[in-house]
Amino acid sequence: MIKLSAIYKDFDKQEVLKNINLKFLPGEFNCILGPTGCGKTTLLRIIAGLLKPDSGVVKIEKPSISMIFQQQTLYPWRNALSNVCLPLEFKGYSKKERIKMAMARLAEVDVADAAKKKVFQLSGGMQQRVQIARALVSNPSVLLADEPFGSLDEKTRYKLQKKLREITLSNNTTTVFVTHNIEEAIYLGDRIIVIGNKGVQADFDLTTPHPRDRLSKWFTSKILEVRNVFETLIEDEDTTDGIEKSEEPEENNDPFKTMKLDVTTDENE
Amino acid sequence: MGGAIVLPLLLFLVWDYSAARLGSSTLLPRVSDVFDVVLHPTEDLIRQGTLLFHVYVSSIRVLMGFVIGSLLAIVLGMIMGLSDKVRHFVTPFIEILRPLCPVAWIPFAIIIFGGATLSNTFGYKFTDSILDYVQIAQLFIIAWGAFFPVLINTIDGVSGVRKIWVETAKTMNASKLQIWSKVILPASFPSILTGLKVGLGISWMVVIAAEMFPGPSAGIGYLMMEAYAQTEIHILAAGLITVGIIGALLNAILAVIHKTFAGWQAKER
Repeated sequence: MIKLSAIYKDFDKQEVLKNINLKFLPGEFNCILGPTGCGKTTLLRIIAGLLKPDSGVVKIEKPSISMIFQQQTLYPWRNALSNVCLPLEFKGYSKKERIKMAMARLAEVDVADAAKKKVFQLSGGMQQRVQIARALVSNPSVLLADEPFGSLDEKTRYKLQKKLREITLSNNTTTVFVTHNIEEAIYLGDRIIVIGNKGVQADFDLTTPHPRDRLSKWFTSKILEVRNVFETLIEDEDTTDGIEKSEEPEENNDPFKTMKLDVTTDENE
Repeated sequence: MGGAIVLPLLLFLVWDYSAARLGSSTLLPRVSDVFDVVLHPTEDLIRQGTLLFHVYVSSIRVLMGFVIGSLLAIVLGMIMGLSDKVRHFVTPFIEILRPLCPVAWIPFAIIIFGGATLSNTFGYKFTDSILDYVQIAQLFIIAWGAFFPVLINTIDGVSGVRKIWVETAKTMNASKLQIWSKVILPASFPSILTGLKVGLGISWMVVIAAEMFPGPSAGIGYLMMEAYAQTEIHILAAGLITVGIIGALLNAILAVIHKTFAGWQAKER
């Protein structure tokens, strides 16, 4: 379980996150939905321990976290297989175990044939599949995803959404998935949390079983319901704020700097 | 490839024609006389040993000085690249020392280290050991020549490592040492290799200069000075050509290493 209590975060005196209180249950697929610049990515980075909140506490039960980023983060000096092996290498698995587990994950996302290919030889969709395989290879209890399918074409996006949902369901992975795509959130989420500059604006529980039919009446009515909240939120922010919020500023080049900013975790909760 | 030999051939033709017209081997030797020396490296030259022996002595000096200078530069460059504080503290000092030409250190190095060789400094007494020919002053100058290009490129390489690559490793729960060895080092390797390439070229240039000063009784620089003193200009020219050939060979070896271990950088662009 992940528990966020009274999270606040400012950048350049601009309030990005304001009093965020959330609890994510084990195995739950949570979609964080919000307009650009509302602090979705910042929230995810705080959960991942990459960023320290100005105030508030993040508690993660059994913190075994993995993250999929929006941009391509595969290491170009490694091939697909050794990229997927890397989290296991960090955990001290033997080479034989690493290859066996990594190949199984690559097969799960249908890129086993590309295992020996270098990163630059993979298409955008294949790279994202390898990133998913890498994020899931060590069986994390928590998966954080920052708009991972944002740059993919519709067909590939649909395929990967379906695949990700199947894998997280079968592994009972607690997932926090950031997106600005309402349709994607409804297709994937057990829960949709809409955030804006006033904090959490709406919280939807979606009980309809997976896989969901995008053409069903329930799906289209849900889109309208969430869009209604979403559009009201954007209109409110346009009238009250007037200033576009800044996303996280560029930090210095010290690669170890953010390592000091560990978020409190509690294994006993 | 064929075109690459046209220019040297043309140069040799002009040279040989001019030498034939001039008719003085002490002013301009014939090309055939020069290549007779280069192509018979095991023959004794002006009672000073063979060309091969002098190449061997110079190579050992370069190798030792280059390894010392490069290792120090890589270690300091890594620290400076990773820590803003160290970089800001050390950079002004480095910027004062960097423009000092390694050759300008030769008199200073001779005053400080005298004629001390590796053998007598560390208390070993060998007869005809290569260490008897390696003077501390020479090592200092060669190491100095290699140090700065490697240092600057290491700092550039390390500080230019993409932040997202480091963050990705952090989300895999990698330790600082693992992040350094599996992400920062391979990511900065192409830049370090560029520094090594430049550093090796400078080391090779510097050793020739260092061997021309009083003291050393072996090395290509020494052989060239002896040839000059005895007006054996064809040997002097053979020394120059040998230096050029060795430099080109070293460059070719480093180019292969670069392509093998850092080729991903070019493909990524």
